[in-house]
Amino acid sequence: MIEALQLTKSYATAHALDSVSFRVATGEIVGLIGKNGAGKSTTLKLLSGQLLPSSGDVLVDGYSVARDPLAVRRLIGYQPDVPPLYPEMSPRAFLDFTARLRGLNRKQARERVSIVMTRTGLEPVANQAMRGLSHGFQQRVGIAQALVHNPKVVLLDEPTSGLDPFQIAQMRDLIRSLRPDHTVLFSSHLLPEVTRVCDRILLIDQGRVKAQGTEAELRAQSTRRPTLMLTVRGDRAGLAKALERFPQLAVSWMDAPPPGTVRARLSLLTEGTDLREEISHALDSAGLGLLELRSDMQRLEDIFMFFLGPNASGARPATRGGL
Amino acid sequence: MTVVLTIARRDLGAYFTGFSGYLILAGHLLLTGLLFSVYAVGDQPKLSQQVIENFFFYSSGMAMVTAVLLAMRLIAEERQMQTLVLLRTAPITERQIIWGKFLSALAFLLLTLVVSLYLPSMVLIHGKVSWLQIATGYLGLALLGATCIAITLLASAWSGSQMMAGALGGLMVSLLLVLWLVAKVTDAPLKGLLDYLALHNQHFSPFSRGILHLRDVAYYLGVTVVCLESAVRSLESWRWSE
Repeated sequence: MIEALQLTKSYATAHALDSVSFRVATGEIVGLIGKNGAGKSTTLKLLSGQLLPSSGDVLVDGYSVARDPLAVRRLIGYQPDVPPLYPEMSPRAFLDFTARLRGLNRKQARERVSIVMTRTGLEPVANQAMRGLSHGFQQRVGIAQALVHNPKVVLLDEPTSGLDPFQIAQMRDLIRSLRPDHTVLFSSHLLPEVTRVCDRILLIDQGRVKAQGTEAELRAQSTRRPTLMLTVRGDRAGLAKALERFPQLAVSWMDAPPPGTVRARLSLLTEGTDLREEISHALDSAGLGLLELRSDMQRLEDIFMFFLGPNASGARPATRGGL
Repeated sequence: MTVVLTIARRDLGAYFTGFSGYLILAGHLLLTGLLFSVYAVGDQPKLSQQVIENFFFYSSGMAMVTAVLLAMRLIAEERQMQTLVLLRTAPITERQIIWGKFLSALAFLLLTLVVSLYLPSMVLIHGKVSWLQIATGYLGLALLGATCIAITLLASAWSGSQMMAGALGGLMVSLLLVLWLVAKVTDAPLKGLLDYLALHNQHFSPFSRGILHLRDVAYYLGVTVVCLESAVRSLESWRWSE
């Protein structure tokens, strides 16, 4: 549905995007993650036809954004990071205007406005001037205008920005509900939101795609070794002695365990099988009471720091071409 | 054409949803009425023909000022409020955007001209002028106003804020206005060119006397189209530079 081909956007002094290539399949929801100035908004602006690439191209449903900009824009609904609203208009009048702008006739516009207002929960404020609406409602109007002409592709730039947790949950449900009728590409700073909503993630940094894939694939790509969190009733010396028979484990002691207990993080130094059962037996033999033994999943932030952090030199080179 | 009218309708509505449209309309009417009674009619006996000529002279100044005030917001305000993205990501061309904006301001200007019709109508009823002379004068006002709207619309496309657009538009109109003075101190063939390019002197006076020259109509339409097309190009160039 969307195919970015060696997409480059250069300004006088810098590359905002540098040979970015990726593919988004029909009906997919893909999240775009990166630091400020990484090139997320520029990518969405190029995809929406707001900007033209310096080189490379974007194909949307086979249409080139450079050669057939109007055909591409017919297929796309775009919400920028700041909802583009005319404050003096009501949501109903505004959505009717945007629908007519995108080629719907009066009857079609009326029908679609009614549908998207229901979908985005705008009926209670349908006829109020938008200057008086809360940020949450303004954000919804922004989404509604992107959906009003029922586009095949929806591009959302930071749709959860400035929303409270309740509104974020609503926005998450709304974005999820766009599948499978719409292909969605959206950017966000909220990592958990992206992983909860998206089928795939595109990590972008300094104008280049650093990695892409599902959350599981990105976890697998990051190099941190599997670890276990262990809590036992006993003392540190006893636990250290019990773990001596596992040379493949590196033990780091956790601070401030509850009184009479000891906590440790066990990192697997070599690739191997699951040791939890053997460790359990060893602790039992040593007379230590097992309180907790669980796999310590990598935090999302760790994964993103692996690819995008200041010491991300270990990250794989920029991915080019489709998945 | 539907999209052009959709844009024009929204922008025309925007003049009336705030104070700006009413202020411009009221200010235009008040000043035109004052100028009519103080200068056009005055306290000395005059021929109806002279009164109408004076009326169109002062009204032309008001039309130019009103045109600048109406047009300065057209693109610059959208840029300031970050709403231009709506138009630029819609399946429409820059030409449709510019013409829609232009038509909205022109419609408002025509409205201000229509509501001032009662002034020359009094002369028509009580004096000896023809309705054709008044109609020709109003055609001149409409063409002059349309040209000033197009010039300021171009300034608006170049500017980051309404105030800057207003200042630049006013400056461009003023420069075109005083070209006839520059022509006075210039030798041929530049003198002829500057005289021809001057916005008001040579081209508007015939309208105020009820004389319609196609060359004057062509001049105003020509400048209007050149400015609008330049605004189109300016808007198109943003897709490369922003």
